[in-house]
Amino acid sequence: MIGEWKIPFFLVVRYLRRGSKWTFSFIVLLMSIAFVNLIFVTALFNGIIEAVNNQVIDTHMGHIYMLPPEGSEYLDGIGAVSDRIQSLEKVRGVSPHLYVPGRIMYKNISGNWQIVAIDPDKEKTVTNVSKNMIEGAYLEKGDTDQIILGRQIAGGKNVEMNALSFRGARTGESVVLDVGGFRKTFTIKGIFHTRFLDTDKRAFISRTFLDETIPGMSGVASSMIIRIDKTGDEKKVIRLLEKMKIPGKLFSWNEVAGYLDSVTKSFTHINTLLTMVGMLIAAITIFIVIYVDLSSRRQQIGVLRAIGIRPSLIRFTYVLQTLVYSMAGILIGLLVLLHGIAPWMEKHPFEMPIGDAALVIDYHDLLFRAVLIIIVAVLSGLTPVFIATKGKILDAIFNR
Amino acid sequence: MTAVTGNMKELIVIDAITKTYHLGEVRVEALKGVSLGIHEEEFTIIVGRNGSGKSTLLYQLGLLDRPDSGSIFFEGREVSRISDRHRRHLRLTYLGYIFQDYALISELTALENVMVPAMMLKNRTDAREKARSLLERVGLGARLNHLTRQLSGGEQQKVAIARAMVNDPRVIIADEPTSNLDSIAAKDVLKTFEMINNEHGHAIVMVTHEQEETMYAKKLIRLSDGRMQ
Repeated sequence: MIGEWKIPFFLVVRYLRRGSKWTFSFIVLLMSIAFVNLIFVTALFNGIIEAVNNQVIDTHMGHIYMLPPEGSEYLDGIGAVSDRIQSLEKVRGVSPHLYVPGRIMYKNISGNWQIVAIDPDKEKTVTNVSKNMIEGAYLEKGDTDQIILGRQIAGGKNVEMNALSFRGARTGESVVLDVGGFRKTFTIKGIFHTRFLDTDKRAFISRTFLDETIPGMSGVASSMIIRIDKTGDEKKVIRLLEKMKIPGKLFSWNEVAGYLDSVTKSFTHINTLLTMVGMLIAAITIFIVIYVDLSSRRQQIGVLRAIGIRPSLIRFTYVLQTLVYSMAGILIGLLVLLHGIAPWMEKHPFEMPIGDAALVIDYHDLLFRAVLIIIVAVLSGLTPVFIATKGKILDAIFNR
Repeated sequence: MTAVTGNMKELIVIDAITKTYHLGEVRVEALKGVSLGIHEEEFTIIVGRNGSGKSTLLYQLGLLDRPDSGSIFFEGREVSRISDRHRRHLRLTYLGYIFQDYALISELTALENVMVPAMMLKNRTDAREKARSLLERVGLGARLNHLTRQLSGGEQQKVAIARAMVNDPRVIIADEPTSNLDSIAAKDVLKTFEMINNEHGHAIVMVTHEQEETMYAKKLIRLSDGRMQ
C-alpha cells in the first residue's frame, strides 16, 4: 500500500521532464507574475507608508514629542532635562524647540508661518533639515541675524504653495521678523526642501539670538523632540522617561501626527482592497490555466482509473504537479523580487511629493501570499481532477 | 453462478443485462438482455456492425460502466452492484483492458507505461522486471525505453497488451484493438493475442467488426441491435 504512493511521484517527475516545456514555462511564468504582483503592490504601499512615517520622524518631530507639563507654558531647565534624556542608552538626540509668535515680512508680502528657534547642532541630532538645503547653508550656533526658510515659505516656480509664499525669495535677501511690534531684519541664509509640507512651511532661527535678546527665554522651550535608535521603541523609551520623572508630557510621533495616522490607515485600506482584488485576479488566472492544463489530461485520468489506479493517487499526482508549478513560480517570483525589483527600487525609488518610496517587504506577508498562491493552485488543480475521478470513467476517457 | 464446461472454469457470467443511453431526447437501447459466459483460456471474439452494442457490452464486462438491469458474475460473485472501490480492485487484478486507441501515457516510455499498474501491487524493481519480461515477450525488447510517440501503432498496441497483462489478470478485454492499424500490424497484434492466450492461458474477450479476424476465435459471439444472435 505504501508503495502505491510512489506512483504520483513516478508520474509527476516524468510529466515534468518529458511534458511540454512551453506549457510548464508558461504556467510557472504566470504563477511568478501573480506572486510578484501580490507582493509588489503591498510592498510599494508599505514603502509609501514608511516614507511618510520617516518624513515625519526625520524632518519634523523625531520619534518622541515632549510638551510642557499641564499648566505650564514652557519646558524649563532644558539643558539639564536634555542631558538626562540623552543619558538613556536608546536616545540618539534631543532638540528643544522654541516657537516664536511672529510674522515674517518679505518685500510687500507677510505671513504667519511657524518660526522655530533651535540649537542648530542639537537639531542635527534629531532631524535631517540640515541635509535638505537646496540653496545656501544651514544655521550655525552663532548666527544671530540669519534665518533659513522652508521651500513653501520662500516659494518660486513649481512650488506647491507658491501663491501663499514669498513667491521666489532667495538666499542673501532680507526678511523682517515682527514679534508683537518688535522688528528685526534677518538675512536668508538658506532654503530647505524636505518634501514634508509641514516642515517646509517652517522657518528656523538660532536660539542664540533669542537668548541674547530676551534673557528670560534662555533655558525654556515650547517643546522638545527626541530621536531614538529604533522606530517602534517609542513606548518603551517613553515609559523609561516617565520613570525618570522627566517634567513634561510625552507622546510618540504617531500619536501627535494623527492626520498622518489616518493617511496611513487609508493607505492600509486601499492596500487591503488592492490585495484582495489582486488575489482574486491571481486566483482566477491560476485557476483557468491549471484547469485548462488538467482538463486536457482528463482522458489520461480516465485511462488511469480504467487500469485500476486508485483515484486518491490520481488526485495526488495532479496536486503534486500543481504544487511543483506553484513552488517554481514562487521561487522565480522571489528571485525576481528580491534580487531584481527590490534592489532596483532601492536605487531608483518611487519619487513622491512626500518622499521617496522603495519596496518594503514584510516577510510574514510574503509567506502568507506564497501559501495563498499554493492553496489557490492546489484547489485549481484539484477541481478538474476531482471531477474527472468522481464522474463516470467512460465520460473521462471519451472527454464528454 | 459458476459453471465448469469440460475442464474450463466459467470466469464471467453475464445474465440478461440491458443498457439504454439517453442522447438528448433520443433513447438508444444498446443492450437488450444479453447473456453469455466467458471461460478460462477462451479466446472470445464479439463481432457486430457499428451500433450493434458490442462496445457497450465490453464496457460492462470491463467494469467501466454499470448495466441498467441484469447481473454480472465474476467467478460466482455478483459485481455489477459492488462499490467503486471493489470494481477498481477487480480492474487492477482480475481484468486487463486494451483500448482501441492504445490509451498510453505519452510522457512515459513503453517500459514505464507497463510498470504503472504493476506498481500498485509490486515494488518498483519487481514491477520493472515484470514489465521488461512482458515487453520482450510481445517483441518489444529493443523498444523498452522509447516514448510512445516514438513507436508505431502496432508497437503501441503491443505496449497496451503488455500493460493489460502485467498484473496477471484472468481475463483480457480488447476493444477493437486493430481498428487503427494497417493489416500487417493488425495481424501481428492478433498473433500476439493468440500467443498470450495459448501460452499464458489468459481468457481474451475481443471486440471487432473485421470479419476476417474471427478466425482467431475459439468462441464467436455475434451481436446485432443489442441482442446476441
